Amino acid sequence: MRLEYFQMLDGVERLDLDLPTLVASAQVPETSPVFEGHFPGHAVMPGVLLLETMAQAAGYLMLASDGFSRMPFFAGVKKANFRAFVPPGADLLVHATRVHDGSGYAVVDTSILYGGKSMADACLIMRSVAFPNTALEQHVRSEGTRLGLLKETHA
Amino acid sequence: MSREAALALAKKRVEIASRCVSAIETWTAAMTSTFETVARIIASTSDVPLESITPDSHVMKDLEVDSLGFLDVVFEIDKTFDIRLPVEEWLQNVQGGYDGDTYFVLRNLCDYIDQTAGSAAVA
Repeated sequence: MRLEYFQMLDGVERLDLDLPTLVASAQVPETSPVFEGHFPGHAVMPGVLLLETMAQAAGYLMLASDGFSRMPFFAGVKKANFRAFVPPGADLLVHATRVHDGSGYAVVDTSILYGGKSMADACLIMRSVAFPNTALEQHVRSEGTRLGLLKETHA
Repeated sequence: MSREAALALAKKRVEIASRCVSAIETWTAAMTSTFETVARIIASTSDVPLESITPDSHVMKDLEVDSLGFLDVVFEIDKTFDIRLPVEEWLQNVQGGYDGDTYFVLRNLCDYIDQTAGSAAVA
């Protein structure tokens, strides 16, 4: 994780396009300015960043499902639970499973596990639209390569 | 015309009328059922009171359901009727100048759901 860049996932551990489901790894940094404020003397990952982490897993699941042809945007949260504190340095597994494939949107069940224990879960609505510009598309494809979803291409 | 022939003709007419009434009742029941289900979905996913929803209500203009709220409605309709409303295509058509009443007035939306769910059941 690089919190200040909103780069929440480190790599894709498993992808099954039949279900479809994705499992990604995410290591919380030991130190970050975020922890100086959240909270002094009791550093924990903010729930909003855990939600963003789950949304990114949902987004990459959608990207992988449609061959990186459309951009998924985080559109809504049907429910979210934060069940335990996530400390600095935690090795997380982020799960995302699409439960409904709508027209231009998807509903995705997500969860975060630490040491086999559920730390957070959420049911998210993701909208997918055409990439608004090529710069974003290139960035997302580059991130897809970093996560292991796309193979590196050499021009 | 003999009395017997007139009687037979009258019986035939009653039979045809009875079939027509039955068909209309079936269609009305299906429409009512779909409308009631969709109205309940809208009321439960938004702040719109159930009693203010009519078959002539436009989901966005009259009931003021916004685009994200409408996604919630569509998700529940998709699940309930086991269909996939082509909302993306509809919204693109509306942006292109097509009359949105065709899609978003409840009477028309329920018609579409009945046709789609019916053809899915046949398939």
